[in-house]
Amino acid sequence: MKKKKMTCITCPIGCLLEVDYELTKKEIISLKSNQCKKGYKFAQDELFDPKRILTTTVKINSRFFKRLPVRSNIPAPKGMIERMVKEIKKIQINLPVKMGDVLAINFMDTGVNIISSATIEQQ
Amino acid sequence: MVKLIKQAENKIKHSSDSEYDLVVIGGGPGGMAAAVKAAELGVERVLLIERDSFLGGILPQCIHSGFGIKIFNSELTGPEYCQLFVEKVRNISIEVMLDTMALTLDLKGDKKSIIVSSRNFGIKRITAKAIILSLGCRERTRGQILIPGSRPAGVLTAGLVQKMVNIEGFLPGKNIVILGSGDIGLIMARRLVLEGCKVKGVFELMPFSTGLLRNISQCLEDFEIPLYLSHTVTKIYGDKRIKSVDIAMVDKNLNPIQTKTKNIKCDTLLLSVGLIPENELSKTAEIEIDLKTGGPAVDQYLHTSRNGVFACGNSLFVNDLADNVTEDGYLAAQSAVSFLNGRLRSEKLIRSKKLINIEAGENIAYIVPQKVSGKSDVNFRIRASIPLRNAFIEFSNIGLKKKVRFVNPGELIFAKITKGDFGKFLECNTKTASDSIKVSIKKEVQGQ
Repeated sequence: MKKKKMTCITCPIGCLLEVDYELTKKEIISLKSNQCKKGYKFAQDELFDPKRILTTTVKINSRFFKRLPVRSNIPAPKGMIERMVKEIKKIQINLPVKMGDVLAINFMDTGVNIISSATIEQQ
Repeated sequence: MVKLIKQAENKIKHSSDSEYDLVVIGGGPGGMAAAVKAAELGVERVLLIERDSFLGGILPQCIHSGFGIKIFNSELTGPEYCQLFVEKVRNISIEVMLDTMALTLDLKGDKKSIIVSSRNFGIKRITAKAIILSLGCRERTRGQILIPGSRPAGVLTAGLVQKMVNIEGFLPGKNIVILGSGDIGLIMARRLVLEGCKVKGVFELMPFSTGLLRNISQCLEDFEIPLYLSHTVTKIYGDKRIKSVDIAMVDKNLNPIQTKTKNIKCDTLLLSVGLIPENELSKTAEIEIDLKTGGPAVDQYLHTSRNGVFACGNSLFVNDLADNVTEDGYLAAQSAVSFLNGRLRSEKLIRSKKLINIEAGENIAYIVPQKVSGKSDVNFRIRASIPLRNAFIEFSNIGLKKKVRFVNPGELIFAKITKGDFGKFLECNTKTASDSIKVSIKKEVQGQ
């Protein structure tokens, strides 16, 4: 059995979780100091499959805006984030683009789509 | 986005009639929320004034996620949160004036008026029956924290760098030192690492971080960026461009221990050393400012010391979450509507002696509202000045204690006090007794 302390990042409260877990079985034995159920889900993901929402920007050709903010539609594997941010820069954007438009499907085989965070209608 | 803006702008009637029921100054999350809510509640002529060329204030540059958990019940990025509100503004009858700076508030006559300077209309006088101030805040700079040394390029505030990187698309440098562990500093540490910069460390003067715990975890720990508490920058070196900084530990009185300085090479120093509510406009109308928050002193309806003028957003006090700003925008709008309908009269005027003063006591940096009538429930927003575990919030004179497991200056505390609780105070405090309630945060003593 292993012990770990971690800050839950699900919401701005930031509970300091105390977890006892079994790595081989991928099982949480006990969880303390969480204020809600989301803490359990977070601890489970964080220990065995950590994920983060990815956000960055991509170059666009508009007279008014130079960058388009983009995000992953769902949290992406944490270990892949840095490589993904580098690859995302290569995505070509055709304007106009709307918030939520899918810019890349199953990006780098992570099961994550890259979507636009903003609506930019003008060239 | 630009098309959106143009369409919003087209709504402006170019008539000479510039009389409005409600004018909201500031088109950030607070102002947009206030304008939308007021229009939803049936206010006919609402005008939203914004000095930038687009609505949203700080939101478009905050590309990270974490917005909207309270308001939209999902985790959004800043631009998404912005977009959803811009669409709300667009879909309801609100007039928007962009590229327009409110210069002066004139509350002397019968009508409230605002002098604005606009790219499209020149200088113009606008009159309103009620006004909501949502003026935002600005960053503290090097000048305000007095770092000695030369004055080279490359010493920048974190929010400015956020705008450079996320909106304008260029990097300010490659080797970064960050002074201050406010949320923008933490978020920019991660952002700059992802853009290929080397962040040499985040240095915080206080023995604790002023940022949200989740940001320390996901912005620093995830990227192995070191956080040095009780450290500060004591000198800046460089001729044209910053070359290095001296870092020193500080003692208990926050004075640098000069014998133990360390030189760190860098080409950029980011400052994330606090935000100041912008209230130059409020001051033109002699609105009473609380020196603790730096914003107008308000009652539980966010009513300022001037009749019919309400305040919300970061110009009221610096918030940590856009969602909280939105909620205050809604509250300001509801109050303005009550005022317009003549229902806020009985408790008007914060200067009235009938109001109970709320004083910030031990371990509290500030508390909003600063005055309450005691005749309705109040949701206090409290900023702790130090982190404390197993503490309680004490409201003097009403004998009320509320337990809090953990307080942190980075996270606003909400404490609801009911009408009934105030009732006790109003009963037991007759004319001779003190007319204030002092609020303190104290540590729970073991065994009590």
